[in-house]
Amino acid sequence: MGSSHSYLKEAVLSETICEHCGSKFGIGTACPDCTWPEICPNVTVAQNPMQVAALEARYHDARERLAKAGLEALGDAFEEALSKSLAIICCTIGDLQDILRIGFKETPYRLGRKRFPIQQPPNDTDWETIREHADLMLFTSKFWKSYHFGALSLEERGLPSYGAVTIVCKEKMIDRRATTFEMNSCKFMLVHKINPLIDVIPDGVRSTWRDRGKLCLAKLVAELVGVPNEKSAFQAILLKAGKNTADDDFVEVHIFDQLSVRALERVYIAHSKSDPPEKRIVVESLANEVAKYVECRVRPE
Amino acid sequence: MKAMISGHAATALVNHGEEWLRIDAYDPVPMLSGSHDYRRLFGRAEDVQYVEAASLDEVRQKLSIAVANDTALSLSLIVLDPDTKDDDLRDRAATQLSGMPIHAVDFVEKVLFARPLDGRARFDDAIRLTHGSAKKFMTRLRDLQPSICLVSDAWDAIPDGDFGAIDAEDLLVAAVHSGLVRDFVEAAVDRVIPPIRDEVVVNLPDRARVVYGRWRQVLKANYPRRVEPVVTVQPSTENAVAYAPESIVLPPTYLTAADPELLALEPALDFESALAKNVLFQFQLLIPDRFFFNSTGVQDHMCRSAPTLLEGALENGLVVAAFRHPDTDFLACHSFLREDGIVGYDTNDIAERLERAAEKAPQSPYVYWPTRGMDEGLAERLSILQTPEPPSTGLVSLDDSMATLRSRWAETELWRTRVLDAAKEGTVRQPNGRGVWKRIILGKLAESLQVSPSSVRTIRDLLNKTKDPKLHEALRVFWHWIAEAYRSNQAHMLGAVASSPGYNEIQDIFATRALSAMHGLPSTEIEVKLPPAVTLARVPASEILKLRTGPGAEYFRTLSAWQAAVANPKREAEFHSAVETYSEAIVKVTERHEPFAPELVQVKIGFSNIISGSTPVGFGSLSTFPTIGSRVKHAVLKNLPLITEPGVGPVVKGLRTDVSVAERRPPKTLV
Repeated sequence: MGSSHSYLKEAVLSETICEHCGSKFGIGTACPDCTWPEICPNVTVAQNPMQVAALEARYHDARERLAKAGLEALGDAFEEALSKSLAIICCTIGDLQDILRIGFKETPYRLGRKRFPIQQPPNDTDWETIREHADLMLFTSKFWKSYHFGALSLEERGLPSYGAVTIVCKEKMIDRRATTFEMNSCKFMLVHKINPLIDVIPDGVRSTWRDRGKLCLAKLVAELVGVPNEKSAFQAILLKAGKNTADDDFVEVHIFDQLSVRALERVYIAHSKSDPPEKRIVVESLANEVAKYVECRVRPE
Repeated sequence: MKAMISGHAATALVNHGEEWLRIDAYDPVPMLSGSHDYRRLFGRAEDVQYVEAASLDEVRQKLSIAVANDTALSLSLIVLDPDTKDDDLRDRAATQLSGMPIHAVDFVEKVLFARPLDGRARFDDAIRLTHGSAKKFMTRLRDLQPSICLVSDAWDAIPDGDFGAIDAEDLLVAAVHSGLVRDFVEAAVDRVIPPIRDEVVVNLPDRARVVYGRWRQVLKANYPRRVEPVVTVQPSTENAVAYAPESIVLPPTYLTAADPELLALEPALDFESALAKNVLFQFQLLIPDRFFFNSTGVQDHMCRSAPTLLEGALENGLVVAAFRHPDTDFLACHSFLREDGIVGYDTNDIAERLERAAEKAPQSPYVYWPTRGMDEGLAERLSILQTPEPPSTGLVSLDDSMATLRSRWAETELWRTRVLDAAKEGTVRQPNGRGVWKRIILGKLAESLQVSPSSVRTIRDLLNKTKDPKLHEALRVFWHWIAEAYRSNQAHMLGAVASSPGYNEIQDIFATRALSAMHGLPSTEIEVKLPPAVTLARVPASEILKLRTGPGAEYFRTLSAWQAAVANPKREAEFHSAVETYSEAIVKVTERHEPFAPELVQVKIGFSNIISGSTPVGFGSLSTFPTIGSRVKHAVLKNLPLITEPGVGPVVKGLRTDVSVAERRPPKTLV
């Protein structure tokens, strides 16, 4: 995250109202909060008939498997729960401050937190190659830096290894531009030994936001067999926080384009008793600012 | 081990062989991680540093510094933010800020000096609530807001085109973190804007130096200039009138002796002597930009102990620098020339020293090339070479001289005609090509000699490849004509007087024509003794400048007065007296440093041509003092008529001074 949100100041002056989400904004080609009516490349890909057919095939296999086991009701309940699942983004406090780069602090934060020339990773260390390859294969070179990553969750909790801030995205602001992916896309490349120069990402491992339940069922059917018909049990197989980010297992959410503070449903900032006082003050101030736009809670880790 | 560190993300990712660890700033226990975490951990943090560290502790230490900087910025903004409604929170933030390490406060200062804060910023609360270095910083931040505004406005005034393909904010950010912005802000206090330090731009694209140079230039224009006295020494008691440049306005003299091309063609020319003589006897010297940086004469001169005569002359307003890019100073000009491959990095130091000297000049020492007309003017001037017969001049009157000229004319026919035509055609095919470019003439000349143009950067390269002595000499003379046309055109376009050190009536054909045109105009003559040029060149710069601003002042005053009334014998006598006094003072000062046998020099000033009855041995700017014999007459042309053409006049401090061709003025002086 890190887009500028100066348009929030314009909203006061503007009478333009987004047909989709109702946000008011200034002159532009798309709503700054939900991006309507912009076409989102990830959604276009997920809606491709080949992708849809492949996902449907996986989904039907999963349903048949549940039917054979007499667990059709469990499958229905899982899908029903998933239809209300949330996109959760976990990030650092710094990232949240970037979302709030408005008004008095905008320019100093921008100038203070940027370096030029931005250093490049040393050549002899593969810092990000896999991630870059994964993103390029998923989103193409034109758009690969235009995405926010989240995790699908049935609760307002995400993967704490990514930072102290948990952001619950407002569904209406992302449903048209979010898609889901089988797992951590970077890990997917490693697990499936995908060579970016030769291979392509197989069809059927991503879905539109509306079809996220189908993707989750297709992915998790094996684990679903045997779990109680309870939301908490579903959550446990949907989102597994590992010892580190590599061990995390989850369904990845890809959200196209900028995330404004109005696209957030709720924000949680975790704090620890061991945090130094200066950090607590920064968190407190940040929470106050976030609360001007969206509900914000400070909760213990 | 290698580590990526971000204060913004409060995280470090460490790679040690196959092992990947993540260190959280607030958690002492490292976590296992992987390279795939890069983007997720750092988000889009733009403060990521890649560092080599010997241990995890070292990584933690670097992370701690980065986090403290970032935290101090947040705390400062909480304290200053008018929207911080919670007074207790502001109070606590101020207390924490006061306890932050010095480096963190220093970091915040650099950032917050970059742009003025909202007028509602709570400076008074911030100063009241903080203590120690934080209090000092907040006080400075409040007090320096006007300067911060100036610096910020100057940044915004840099033309977009100067940035090229680089994002403007990226360069501003670099200037913030290098401390350049703070340097500029603080410069407002003593009003001496420091030059751009090399370390500021060392890791940046070349364009950065250009942009920062322009920024500095705009700032200089906005800051009131510190005015220093022009005269640094008291005039001698004989001189009733102090040096008063505002009362004497003579055109500057183009310092041809600084031309690297001429120095290469005529190794006997001595820049040091020429500079000393010109400083003493010319009102001002005009030097085109590249001469400062690619002339061996200037480079050798700048190796002398500082301040050199050139630096001193700049400081005293005796040198005018003519730059091709508008609104540039020495540093910005040097950057542009470096970008264009005209000069190298090794001359950075010269640019900085000259800029420091220019800073002290009583008024801007810069003039800028006209945006149009230079290349067309050269083409027009060169058309003289394209005639079937050499120009008829009364000066080339001796039979053998005329025969030599005709011979050279015939030998160079191909170059004067087809090569120049091809060069003109080649020039107009270039983007923005008009008239003719000298480098294209050189290329076409090389082609005509079956030499690859890419192997020829200067005429010296081509001469070295020409083994036939006759062809070599013809080529040398032809290029003299081209180079002289270029210089005289440039001088003309910049409102300066062309000079021809080592004047030769054949190879300095444009000077010969000019002299011929001035035949019959009034003049005055006087013989004086002067030191030999080589001796004069060894006199310390400070002594030369004392002479120039002391007894030299009377020389210029009486010269100006006589020129205003050439028929007035009293003025003429006063001038003669001043010339004698000045010459005696020069001899006296020079003798203190080195014994020598003075040479008798016939100075002829006015409008007539070179000394009658003798072979002209010098032309222009007293720049060729022959050392042969004890009584050699010299002719030095000084201050040719200033003629500028409409629309292409010299640009002085941004103002174009157009003078109609019809307003041809009588020449000021002819020495």
